[in-house]
Amino acid sequence: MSGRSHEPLFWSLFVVGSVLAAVIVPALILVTSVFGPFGWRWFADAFTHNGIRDLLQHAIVRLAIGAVIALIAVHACHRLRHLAIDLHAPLPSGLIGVVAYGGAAAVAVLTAVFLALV
Amino acid sequence: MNRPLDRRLGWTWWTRNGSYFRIFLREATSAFILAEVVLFMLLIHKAGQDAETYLAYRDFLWHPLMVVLHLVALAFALWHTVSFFLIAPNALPNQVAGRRIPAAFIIGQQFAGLAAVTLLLFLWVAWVGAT
Repeated sequence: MSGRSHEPLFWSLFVVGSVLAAVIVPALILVTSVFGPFGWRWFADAFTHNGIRDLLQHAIVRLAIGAVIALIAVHACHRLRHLAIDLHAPLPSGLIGVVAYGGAAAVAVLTAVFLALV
Repeated sequence: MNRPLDRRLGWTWWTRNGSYFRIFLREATSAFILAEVVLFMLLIHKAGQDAETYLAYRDFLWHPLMVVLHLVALAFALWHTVSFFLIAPNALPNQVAGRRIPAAFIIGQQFAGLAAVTLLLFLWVAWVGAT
């Protein structure tokens, strides 16, 4: 392969996603998936059908969630790609890249569509 | 850009010593972070459908076995957070206007930011749930 590498682009997106993942993912897991089942009433009530629609009501919230999810997905897929390479996965490196960044793009696009349909 | 890969270590390099294993763990956090993001994406998807479909998915997400997965994912996510914060002083320019910035300050303000964002998110969701 000749010409310029796309690595710098993915690397800079990866770093932004790293920050977002570091700051937001622990709270996201606790709020959506731990406090509710542990019976903390306010959090359980926030995830009734009406509750989550209230949470996602404002366009700004939906835009922010869409951007955050997309960047965290790029972060995770970039790192998974490097993990696959580091573990000597017996696959062409081009294929690993297409699967990884294709997966990240799929998560970003699907999240945008799902947010628009709420 | 296919760099020849150094294969002398083999694919089990991460079992060699503690620092290799920590690098492996840090890379492995991405699998759990991606899983949680996809589960959240599907929650948004179900929120756009009728209440019954949504609640069926939410009950799956909140099933005790899934909660175990969430707690494991939380541990990996926190590993990413802490290891990422701790290397920041090595990755950032450590001087501003000729004065050295103490590493503890850089690390401390990141944890302060984490606490602020986490608290704001908790308050917002709890407020929506309580009203």
